[in-house]
Amino acid sequence: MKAKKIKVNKTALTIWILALVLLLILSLIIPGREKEETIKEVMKDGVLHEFGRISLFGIKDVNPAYISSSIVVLVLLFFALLVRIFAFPKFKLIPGKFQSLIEMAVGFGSNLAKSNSPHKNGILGAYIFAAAAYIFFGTLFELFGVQAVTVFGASISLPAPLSDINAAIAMGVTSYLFIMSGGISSNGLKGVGLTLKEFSLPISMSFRLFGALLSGLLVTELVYYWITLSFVLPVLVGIMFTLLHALIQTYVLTMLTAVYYGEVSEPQTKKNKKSQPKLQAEN
Amino acid sequence: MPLNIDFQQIFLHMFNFLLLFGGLYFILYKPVKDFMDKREKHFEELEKEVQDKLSNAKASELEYNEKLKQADEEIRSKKQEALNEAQKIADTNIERSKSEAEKILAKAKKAADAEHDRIIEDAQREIEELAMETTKKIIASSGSAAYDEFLSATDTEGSR
Repeated sequence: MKAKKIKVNKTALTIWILALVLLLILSLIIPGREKEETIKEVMKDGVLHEFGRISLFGIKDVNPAYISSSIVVLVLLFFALLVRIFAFPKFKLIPGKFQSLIEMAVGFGSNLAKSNSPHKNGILGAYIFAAAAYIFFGTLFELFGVQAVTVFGASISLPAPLSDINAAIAMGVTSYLFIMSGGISSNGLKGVGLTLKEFSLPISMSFRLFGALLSGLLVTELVYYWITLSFVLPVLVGIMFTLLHALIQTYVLTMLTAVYYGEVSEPQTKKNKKSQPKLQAEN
Repeated sequence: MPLNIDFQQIFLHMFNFLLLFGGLYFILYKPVKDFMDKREKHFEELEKEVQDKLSNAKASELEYNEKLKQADEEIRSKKQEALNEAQKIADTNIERSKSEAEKILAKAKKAADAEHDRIIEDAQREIEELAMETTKKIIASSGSAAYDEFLSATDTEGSR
């Protein structure tokens, strides 16, 4: 029985190697399509999306990242709805694997909110959960290579939503406004003052997200531009880097939001009382 | 705008994110969080119940130990009392036995003395009778001189 198993594995291995060699030879022998854009144009369009725009139901031409964003949001909401209808009623006191996964995701938002904003964290956990899902799955979205047709009739692969500066600004500003709402609900006008003190936050958050996602996009564009770099390397660049910065950006933005939210929503009177003995002790 | 920044698209992205935020909150986050909180509360209650039962058990153990201690103490004191009582009874008995023994000894001594006196009296009487008998025999054999001599000797001895 053991010998038979080894024979099957050997056959499969041979077929696999032969297919690889064949595809490699074919891809090197057959001439590629003439490049329509220079690398400069590709990179510029990757950043600015001035030409590769997509029509939104004929109403308006939008950046492809908006279509990506809409798809990600719809898919996530659909998945949530499926979980709510089919899986949630079967949730048990001792969770199974899928239930543990869902609870881990919810627990991530809830625990991050509790640890960074102990005074007020009910809605913060939900915000962190949604932002984490949006950034993580939005970043992974580029791996699927969903195709779309631009207004000029060219086919493009949809990028990650946050590789568009408009999406990054929207995320940064929304997070800033959310932080401000926490400050207002806890400290009233003082909360607004505390939030405004961090006026650079929306800019830094937006550009951090944009920069991180864009750098990944540009490296991928650069690698795919040259056919000779399209073997093996995309596995590392395309998947590993995407996974890595999806995780890192998710953690960074959610952590920053939680920390600033906790800071501005901390009751001020208590803080002053607490900080006095500390200062005395330090002196 | 520089960098192709488009406010309309920013608002569209914000709309998308808020839609996701609200949708996820109501559809998934809140029910799952409520479920988790409820479960946590359930386990906290269970733990509290266990703690209560443990503390009750500990209190019962303490009470039981206290009672055991009291029972031991009681047993010890009763034992001591019984020992004391037994000692007392034994002392009384010994005392009584001693006095009885003394009485018996005294009685025995008295009886022995009486017996002694009686024996001596009997012996004296027997000696006297024997002496009289002997004397009579001697007189009968040796004559009246010797008898007179003996009588005078007896008188002398009696006057002394």
